[in-house]
Amino acid sequence: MVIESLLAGADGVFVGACKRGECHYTSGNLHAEGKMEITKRVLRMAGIDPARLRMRMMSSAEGNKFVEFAGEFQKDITELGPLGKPEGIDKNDLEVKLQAAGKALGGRKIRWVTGKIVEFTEKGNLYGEKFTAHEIGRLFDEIAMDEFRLREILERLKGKPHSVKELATKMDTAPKILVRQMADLKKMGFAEIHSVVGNTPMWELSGNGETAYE
Amino acid sequence: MLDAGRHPRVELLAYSEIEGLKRKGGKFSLKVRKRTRYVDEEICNACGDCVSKCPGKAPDAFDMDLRKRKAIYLYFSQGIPAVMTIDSDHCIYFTKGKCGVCKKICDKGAIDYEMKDKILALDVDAVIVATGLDIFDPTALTHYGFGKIQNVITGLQYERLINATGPTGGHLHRPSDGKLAKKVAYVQCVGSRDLNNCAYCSSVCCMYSIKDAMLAREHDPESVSYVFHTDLRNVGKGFQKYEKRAAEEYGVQYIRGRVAEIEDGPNGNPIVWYEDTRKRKVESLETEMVVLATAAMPSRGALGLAKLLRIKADKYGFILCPPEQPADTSVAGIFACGFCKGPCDIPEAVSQASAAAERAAARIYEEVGV
Amino acid sequence: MSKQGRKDTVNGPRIGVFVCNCGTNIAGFLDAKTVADYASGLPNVIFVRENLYSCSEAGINDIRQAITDNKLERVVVAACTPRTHEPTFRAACEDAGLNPYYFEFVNIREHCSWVHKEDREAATEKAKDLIRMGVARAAYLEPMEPIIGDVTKRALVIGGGISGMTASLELARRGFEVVLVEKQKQLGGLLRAVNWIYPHEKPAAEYVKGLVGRVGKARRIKVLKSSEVTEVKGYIGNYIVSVTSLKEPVTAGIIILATGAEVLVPEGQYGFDSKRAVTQLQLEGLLAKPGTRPKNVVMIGCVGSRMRDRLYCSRICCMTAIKNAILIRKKWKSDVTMLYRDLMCYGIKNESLLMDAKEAGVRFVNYPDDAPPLAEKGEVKVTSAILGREMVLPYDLLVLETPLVPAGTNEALSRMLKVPLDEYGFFLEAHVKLRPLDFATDGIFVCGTARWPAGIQECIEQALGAASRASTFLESGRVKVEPIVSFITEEDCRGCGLCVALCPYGAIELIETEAGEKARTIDVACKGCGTCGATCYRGAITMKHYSDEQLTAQIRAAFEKE
Repeated sequence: MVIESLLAGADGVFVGACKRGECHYTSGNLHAEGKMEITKRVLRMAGIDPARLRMRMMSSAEGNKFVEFAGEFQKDITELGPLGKPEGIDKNDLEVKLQAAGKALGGRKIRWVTGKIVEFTEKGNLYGEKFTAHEIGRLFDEIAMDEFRLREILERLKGKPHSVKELATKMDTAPKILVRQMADLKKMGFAEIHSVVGNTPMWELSGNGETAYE
Repeated sequence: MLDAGRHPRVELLAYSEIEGLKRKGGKFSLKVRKRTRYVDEEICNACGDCVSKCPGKAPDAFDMDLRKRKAIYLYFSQGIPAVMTIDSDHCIYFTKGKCGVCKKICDKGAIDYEMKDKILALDVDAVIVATGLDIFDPTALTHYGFGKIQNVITGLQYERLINATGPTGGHLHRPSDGKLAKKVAYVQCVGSRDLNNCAYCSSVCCMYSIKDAMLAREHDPESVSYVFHTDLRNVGKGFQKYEKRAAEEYGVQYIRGRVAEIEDGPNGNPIVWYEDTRKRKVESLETEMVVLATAAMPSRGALGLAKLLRIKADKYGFILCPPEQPADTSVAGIFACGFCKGPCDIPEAVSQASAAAERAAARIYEEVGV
Repeated sequence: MSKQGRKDTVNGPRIGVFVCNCGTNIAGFLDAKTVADYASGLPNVIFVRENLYSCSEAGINDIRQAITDNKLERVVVAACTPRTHEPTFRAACEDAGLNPYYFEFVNIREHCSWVHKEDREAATEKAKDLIRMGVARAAYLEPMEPIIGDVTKRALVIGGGISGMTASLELARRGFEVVLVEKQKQLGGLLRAVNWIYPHEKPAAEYVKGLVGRVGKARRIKVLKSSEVTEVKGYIGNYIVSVTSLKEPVTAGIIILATGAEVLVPEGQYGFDSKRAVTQLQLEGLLAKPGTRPKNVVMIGCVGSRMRDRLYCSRICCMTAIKNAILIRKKWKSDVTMLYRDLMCYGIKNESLLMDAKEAGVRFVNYPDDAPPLAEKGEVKVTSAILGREMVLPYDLLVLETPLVPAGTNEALSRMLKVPLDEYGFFLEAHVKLRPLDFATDGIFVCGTARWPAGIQECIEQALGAASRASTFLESGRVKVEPIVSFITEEDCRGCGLCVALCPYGAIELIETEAGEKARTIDVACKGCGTCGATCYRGAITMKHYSDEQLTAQIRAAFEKE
């Protein structure tokens, strides 16, 4: 829904939640917090300023706090300017990136990790080891990077075949990394070589790539 | 209110009074007078056409007489059932014998000047008394000047002033000159904890006065409030926090001391004379309006009703219930809840209502024996 | 005021919009007519009306009439909060033959007019935005039927003090089976340590004995002493509760929490030694026994309450102290001085007991909030707020009025039953004013000092009230739940079990099907929180009434300014 809002034209998304321990649904706010953390990281990967997403916690009796937070957020977003502009992303690119972000966030990997995160931080993993905020941050960063890149490749291949070099330029990523990822995608049956132009292979989505990757 | 009004198993007899009760075995036979509204409840849909044309005027009791209403009226806008009533004491047709504007204007034909009171006979297994409260009339306490000094009002009048649907649209326009009152005194224990009037503590005034003072500040950031109190009895859940918040965030000032006298000052400003027991000094304060936290009493007619039902009540008319079975009255099958059996706040009244419903249910479903 | 809007709807549902003025609460701060006019131009909207009060009987009639006359398929009311009136408007739809879930509430009062009182134009624009969003969502609403489940006709009452015993007896009297779990070896709770009760005017022991005797004799009540609840599974109508003293778990339809409270022990304060400086509860013990006859007794109010770390007033300490002061005057003939901040003698009987105490010669000294008394070497030094000077009071017995504090077991129970505690650790009811004995979670009720400090009579009232609330479910044997729950599409589910692990209400189970393990929602237990829906990577979980489709439509509409 956060990505949906940005796609619909929002320049920022503010998420208000109950304070820790005060969730009407016991732990929904903690789940939301985890999701917002990873969403911010995916946005950063997409080249979008993560400050456009802000979550604040307050109780339902703290109307004044809400006003304060909303006011601050509005001010900050106004200063930041319209989505994509300070980031230097054009409109088409923005949509591709947001679509990729949305798919990454809805995918299995991120959903599993964010789903388990409350348990990991509150109760510890299977071995009773609790994760620190720092460890979680690193984990989130790695996952966000991998997942977003995969999605972005798939999104870009949707329109037309690309060479690794073309992708690398559009995605502002080292070709070396992309070559490895293309090989993975091929193994999973999501991408294949469409044609070879000169010496350069052009990649396209394979049959599975359109839909199957969760 | 609406839930009770539309519940399939609740039959609502508003504008009605109990006139007699007979016991038949374990059951009761009640005589109920359903007073005539001179308006057919089935037909009227409260469109308000009649009200807009009615020439008769009367003080609006719901608005604590702070404004006039028409002789045909809706008791209050969210009232249940939503039907008009003709006040025959003020209706020109009834007092002078001619007019009939409402009858002419009502295209549904809901008006019937010949309509009579109805007497209903009800057979029931249990009776629950929940007649609530009325407020003490502070006119008798002449030193507070109520009735003489225009800008001395009661807490309930204040509630109407600060209410968006009230006579001033929610703004504190004071009665004397309509000026916005910015400096308001709230006087506690008016008639309560007073051996000559109500010896008991009304229990809810401390909190509602603080709430009133906070509302004033919410409406007008320049407003200043003074609460004159004896013991501040804020014993309910979260009340202490509320009391503290009022002082810290809403600038409500608490002054410990009974108000001795209120006199009419310049420009309609009431002057409050009091002994500040903390400073041990008699002082005075010029205010723009004074709100009296008048004692809450059993509703008028409570003693009569108790007599009619043959249940025990104290000298004020509060229904007496044994402490071990607090929802039961002295008559088996008659139960009581809420303010009619003693001062209480909303959550207490709701708990008591559930308790009375439980006791009545136990009777209706028959005691099967533990 | 009524207006016919666009009739050229593109196959969409026929939507009616009602804009409430709420007297002046809405119309006083925004231009309701402009808003209504605007609404009539929105997609699929074929009928718009502005009401003075949509919730009034006249307003409700209007809605019913409009549904019938205009064959409305969706109803949008722009008014106040769903908290107060959503049931009202849904019922109006139902009365007119429209599925109640075809109703959409737009809040233009709390979310708009009340918070933008200073900017009429902006408030009007925002109301338009909100209505546009509501209309967009309304088009995607789906009809639903309430969920009905069975209720086991047995109650579990946790706590065997006066509240728990009263509730148990009352339910048993109504014909329901009760399992009463008590942590201690004996029933009776705090009251067992009390000497004399007021306004009953009898020894507490006599009262407790009577009550315990009746509970013991009640054949429908099964008493489990020295027992604690260790695990709670299930949901309203069907709880499965493990108790330490039983091998097999107990099944119950509802649970009443009557776990009571504890008296704060004032360690290290005012020379507290349980001998010369005691709590009121310890004083009750001294009064019950012969022997002690102190010459001077001083009582100090608000020891450990109405202070920074424990802000609340414990409600009953002043009255306990006054009652005991009178007894001391009668029995020991001691001089008694009560040091207090405010005397909390609310109501009729409490105030009259205060009069009695004054008549009996109890001396009252008001001390300022910021200058608590000091006690050392058999003397109390206190500043009298009235006299404005320090007084020195010798004592042979110092009685400290300490507050009731939440029972230590509250936290564990709160986790097991998934019901909240307030900031101090007392149980937090569904609504502090209007639903004092319920929790947000259906099927669990609270009474007595587990909720907040309360006098004996108040505990009895609440216990009867909780029994009443519980009996509405037990009597009918059925429970009706809002169908706003999660729905799992079996074909899309891979049985990974993440939703099962995450559900805070234990409302999802894995079932064996021909196609392998699949998750399934237990409808009556589901609260519709959406944790599962937001986690399922297969998109197999739909939140009914808050589907992605509905919410996306609403979000898109938010940015669709013309």
